[in-house]
Amino acid sequence: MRVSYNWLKQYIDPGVDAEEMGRLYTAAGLELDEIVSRCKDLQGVKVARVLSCEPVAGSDHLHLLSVDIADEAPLSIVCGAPNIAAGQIVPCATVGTVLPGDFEITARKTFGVMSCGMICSQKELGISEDHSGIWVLDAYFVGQEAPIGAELADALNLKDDVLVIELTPNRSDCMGMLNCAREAAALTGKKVKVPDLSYEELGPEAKEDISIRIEDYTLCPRYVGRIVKNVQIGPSPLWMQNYLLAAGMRPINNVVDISNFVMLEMNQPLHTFDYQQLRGKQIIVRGAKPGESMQTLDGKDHVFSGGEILICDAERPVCIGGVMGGMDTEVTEATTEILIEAAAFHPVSIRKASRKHGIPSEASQRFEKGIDIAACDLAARRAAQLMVQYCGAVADKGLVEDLAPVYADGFPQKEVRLRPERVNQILGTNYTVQEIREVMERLQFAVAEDGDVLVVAIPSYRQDIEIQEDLIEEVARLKGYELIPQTLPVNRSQAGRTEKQKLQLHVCKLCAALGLHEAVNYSFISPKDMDRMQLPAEDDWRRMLVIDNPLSEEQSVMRRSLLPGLFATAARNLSRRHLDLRFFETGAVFVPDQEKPSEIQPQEIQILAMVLGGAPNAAWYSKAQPYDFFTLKGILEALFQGLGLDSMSFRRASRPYLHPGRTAEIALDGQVIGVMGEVHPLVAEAYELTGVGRVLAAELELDKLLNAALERGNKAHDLPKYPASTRDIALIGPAAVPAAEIEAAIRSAGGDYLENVRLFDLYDKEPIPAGQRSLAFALQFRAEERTLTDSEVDAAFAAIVAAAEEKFSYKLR
Amino acid sequence: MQEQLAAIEARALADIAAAQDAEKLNELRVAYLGKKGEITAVMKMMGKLSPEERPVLGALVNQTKDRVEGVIAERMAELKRLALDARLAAETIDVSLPGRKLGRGSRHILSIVKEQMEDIFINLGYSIAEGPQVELDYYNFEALNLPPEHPARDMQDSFYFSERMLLRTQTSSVQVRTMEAMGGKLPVKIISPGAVYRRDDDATHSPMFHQMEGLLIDENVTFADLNGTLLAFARQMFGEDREIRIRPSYFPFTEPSAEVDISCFNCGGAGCRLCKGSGWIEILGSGQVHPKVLQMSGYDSEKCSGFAFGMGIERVAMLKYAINDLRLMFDNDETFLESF
Repeated sequence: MRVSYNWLKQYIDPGVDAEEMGRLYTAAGLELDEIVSRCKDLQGVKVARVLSCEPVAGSDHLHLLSVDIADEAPLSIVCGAPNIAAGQIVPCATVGTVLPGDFEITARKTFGVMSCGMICSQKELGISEDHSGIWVLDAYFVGQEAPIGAELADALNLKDDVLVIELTPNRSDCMGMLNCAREAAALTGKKVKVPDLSYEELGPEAKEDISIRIEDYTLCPRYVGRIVKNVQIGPSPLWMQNYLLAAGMRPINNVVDISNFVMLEMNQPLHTFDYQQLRGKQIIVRGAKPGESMQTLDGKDHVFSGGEILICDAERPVCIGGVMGGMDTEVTEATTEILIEAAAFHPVSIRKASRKHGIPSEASQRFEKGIDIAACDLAARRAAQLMVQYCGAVADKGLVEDLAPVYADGFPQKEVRLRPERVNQILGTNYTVQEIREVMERLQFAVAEDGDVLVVAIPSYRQDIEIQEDLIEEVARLKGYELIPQTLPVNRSQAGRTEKQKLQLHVCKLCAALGLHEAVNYSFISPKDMDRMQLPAEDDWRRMLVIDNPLSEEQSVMRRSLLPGLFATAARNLSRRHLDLRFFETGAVFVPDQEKPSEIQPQEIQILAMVLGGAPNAAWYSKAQPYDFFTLKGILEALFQGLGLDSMSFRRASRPYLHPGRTAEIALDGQVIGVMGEVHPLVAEAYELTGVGRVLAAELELDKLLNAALERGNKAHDLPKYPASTRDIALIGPAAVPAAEIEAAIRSAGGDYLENVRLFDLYDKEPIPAGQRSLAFALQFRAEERTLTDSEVDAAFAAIVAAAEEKFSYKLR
Repeated sequence: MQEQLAAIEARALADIAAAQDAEKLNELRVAYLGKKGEITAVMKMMGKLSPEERPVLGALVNQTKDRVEGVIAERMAELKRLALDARLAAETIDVSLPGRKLGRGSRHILSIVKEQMEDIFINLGYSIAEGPQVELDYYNFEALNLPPEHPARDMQDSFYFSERMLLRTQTSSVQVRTMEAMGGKLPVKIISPGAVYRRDDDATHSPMFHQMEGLLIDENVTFADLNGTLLAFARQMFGEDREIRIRPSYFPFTEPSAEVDISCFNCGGAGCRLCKGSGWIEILGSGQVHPKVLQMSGYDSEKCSGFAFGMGIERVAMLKYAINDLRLMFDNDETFLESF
C-alpha cells in the first residue's frame, strides 16, 4: 500500500512527520518498506508560458520556443515534443536544474540555435510514466491567473512523501486510506475526520431508472447501485490526480479517477457502467454458465467455465463481477449517464476468476481479501458526490440495492468478549483494566462491561478481529511490543536426542572423519536421471512421485535414490577441476504408494549414500593412487566398525547402474541393508564423470543400519592376560572361491582359541597355475585363562588345513 | 715393575682415546687385557716377587685393569654416541615440505548449524520431532488455521501432487502431528528441523530449504516466555551481548504474532551493510499458538497456551558464517564444503 502523506492528512492531523509515522506504523505491524519522496527535487522547474513556437530549420520535429518564466527576458528553448504549441502553460526546467536520474539541464546548441532549458513531460519530472508529450498545465489554472515563474512543485502542491507499507494479509482494511488514517489515529491519539458525504440529489428516484436482482447471495451478498446523469467527461482535479499518482495509479478522466479515488479511500472497489448502454433498465447478478462468453474492456474475449460472477443487464453479461468490466458498457468520452456499482463479492470466486482469466487488479485484490459489506453504499455515495462536484453530474435520488436476506435487518454488530486477566495471562504482562480499555478506545472500539468481562464492539471495517486473542494482540501492539517482558518458561520436561538421533549424528561425523564431504541435494530429480542410470523400463525406481507444478523437468519427480544427486555433485566438482571426489549424503527417498501415489503419502526411507572418484592428489611423497572398490569398502568397514557392526558381509550382486563384476550387496545376518560397487561406465559417461578413473558408489538404508547398531552397539572387552600365539598360513586353490568363504571356513575350523584371522597376501602370478591363487592369512590364537601350548596350536592349525582342503580343495602351499 | 705398569697404562689410555671404532677397541681390549695381553703379562710376572710385595702389586694390577676396562667402556659409549649423532645429522629433512594428507572430510554447514541450533533448544528442554516431507494438505495448512482458499496460502506457493498432498512448506506440520500424538498431554515441547519446499527460485530463494520450528504448549506459557526463549537462543547462537526486538506481524497459526530481529552482530547495532543500516537483522517469525490450532489438535485453549516459532537454517548459517550466496548451500563445491 502506498500511503500519500498529503492525502492521509486530509483525514487526520497526525502531528508527526512522515518518517515518524512510518516508525509508528512499523512498530504496530504495518511494516514500512520505504518512504518515496515525490517532487522534492524539482527545484528550478518553473511554471512557464510558451510565447511562441517556430520550427527549427533543418529538423523535422524540433521547435524553437520563446518561453516566459517571469524573468527579465524570455528563454529560448528547443523542444521536440509533438504536442507543444504557443500559448501553453508548461513545466520548464531551467539551466542548473537536476531532474530525477541525475539529469542536469545545461545550455546547449542544437541545429545552430541555443537552448537554455527544457520543457518537461511527467516522466521527466518523475511524476508518472507518461512520456507521450510535454505536460500541459492549462487545465490546472482555469479561471485563475497562472503563476508564471513560480516553482512548479509549490504551484501544483506536488511535494509529498509516500509511505510504502507492506501489509500483512489480515490488515487488508489498510488498503483504504481512511483505514490507514484510523490506524494512525490509534497510534497518535488524534481524531479522524471522516469525509462528509452529503450532496444534492436533483434527479428522479433511482429505482425508476434501474432494478437490481441478485440470483446467488453466496456469490454476491450485496449490490448497491446509484445513478448520475449529465456527466461531463474531462480531467479530474489536480489534487486527485496527484493522490492517484502517489498511490501508483495513472489518472485517466474524472469518472475513472473518481472511481479509483474512492476505492483507494474507502477500500471499496467500484464499477461504473455507461447507463445508456445497459439494456432493459436491469442488473442481474448471477454465476456464469459454462461456455458463456464476454468481451472485456481490454478487448479480450473470455469464455467462462462456470462459477465466475457475472453482472448482466436484461439481455447479456456486461461485467465479470469484481474482476473486469465489459466492452459494451464501458464509460467513454461520449458517456453522459452512469450507473455506479458498489458490491460485495465472494472472495474465493473472485480469486479463482482473476487467476483463471489472468487479470488480477487493484479491485480483485481487495475483493479477494474481503471488503466491508456494511460500507458499500458509503462508497457509492462518495462517488456520486464527487461526480456531482467534479463532473457536473445530476444525481438520482437514493439508491437501488439487493441484499442477502440475512442482512435484511441491518448488518450485525460484531462483539468480542475480552477478559482482562486473560490479556496478562497470554502476554505475561500486568496491564490494568483501565489501560486495556484505553487501547480499545484509541481504536474506536466501544466497550461495555459484563461483570469482569469487557464486551468490545468491533467496527465493520476491522474484519480481522474475531476472537479474544485478536484483541489481545491489539493490546500488545498498541501498548508496544517493546513492553513485553523477557522471561523463560518453567521447564517441566526431560529432553534430548533419542538414542537413534544420537547415532545418526554419529554416523555423519564418522563419514566426515573417514574423509567424505557431506553434500545436500534437492529431493527432486529429473525423470531423465533414470535413463542416465541405465535403468530398464520396468525398473521399480522409475515409479516416482510426480510433482504437479514443478519449476522445471529437472526438478519434477521425487528421488528413489540419492545417487543421481551425488553423481551430479561429483560431476560439477570434476568440471571445476576437483579430481579427488569424496562425498556422502543422508536424506529421504520417496517410495510412492502402489495404488494411489498422488493421494496416499509415500514411504519416506532415510538413506546414506557415498560416491568416490578420482584419486588423492599426487604429492611429493607418493603418486596418485586411484580410488577403487576396496577404498570404498574400506571406508564402509571402518564405518561399520565404528558402529560396532563387525559382522557385515559383502556378497556379489548386480544393479543396472553398477559394474556387473564389481558390485556387492551389504548384509547383516542375511538382511540386505545396502549395495556398493563400481559405477557402470555408461552411467559415469551419462553424468559426465569421465576421465577421472573409476567411480564408486554405495547406498545404505540408514534406518536398518541404525537399528542394527542400536541392537548390538560397541561393547568393551577386557584386555588379554596371556600372550597370543601367531601362525601364518598360505593356501593355494581355485581362484573362484571367495576369500571371505575361506576365511569363514578357517574361523569355524580353528576352534575356540582362534582369536583373529587376517588376509595379508594374495598372489596369482607365476609360478601359481592359471585359475588358481594363493591366499596368506595371519592367524592369532589365544586362551583367556592360560598360555597355549605349541601342540594345542598345532592341532588347531592342522584342523584348518584339513577344512580348507576338504571344502575348497585349497592346499597348504 | 710399578713403572712398567704405569707405562703400559699410559700407552693403553692413549691407544683407547685414539681408537675410532668398536672393532679397534676390541682389539685393544685383547691386546691389553686378554689372556696374552700386556697387563695380564705383568700379572704373570708376580711369581718373581716377594710374598710381601705380591698383594700390593696384585692390587695395583687389578686397579689398572679396572681403569683400562672402564676407559674402554666409556670410549665405546662415546663412539656409539658419535655414530648416532652422525647418523641423525645425515637424516636431516626439509621440514617445510607439506605433510602427508589424510583426506579430511567435512560435514555440511547446514548440518553443523542445525546441530548447534538443536543443542541450544535441547538445553532448554526441547526434544527433536521429525515428520514426513510429503505431507497432507490437512497437516500443512488446514490444521494450522489455513483453510482452503485462505489468502495467506499465497504467502507460501507450494509444490502439489494432488489437491490433498504436497511437499510441506513448513515443518509446522510436524507440530500438528506431535500434538495429535500427545493426545492432550502437557507439556508439548519440541523443535522440528527439516527440509521444506516452496515454489520459488531466485538469488534469495531456493525451492528446497531447511527450517527449524519450535513449539511449547503448557499451562501458562506467555508471550513474554517466547520473548525470553528467543533472547536466550539469539545470545547462544550469535553472542552474549545480543538483544532481540519483536515486532507485530501476522501468521494464520499464531495470535498475537511477532517478527523477531536480533541486534546486528556485525556492527553491534550502530548500522552497517549487513543490517542495511538499521542495526537489526530479521531472523524469525513467531507467536502465541492460535486457539483454533490448539483446539483442532485436541488441546483446550482455555486450560493451556503456548508459543511457536520458526526460522530458516540457511539464514542462520549465512548470517553466522558470513555466507553471501544462498546457492552455495546446494552447489556442494568441494572448496566450499571443505571450509567448515
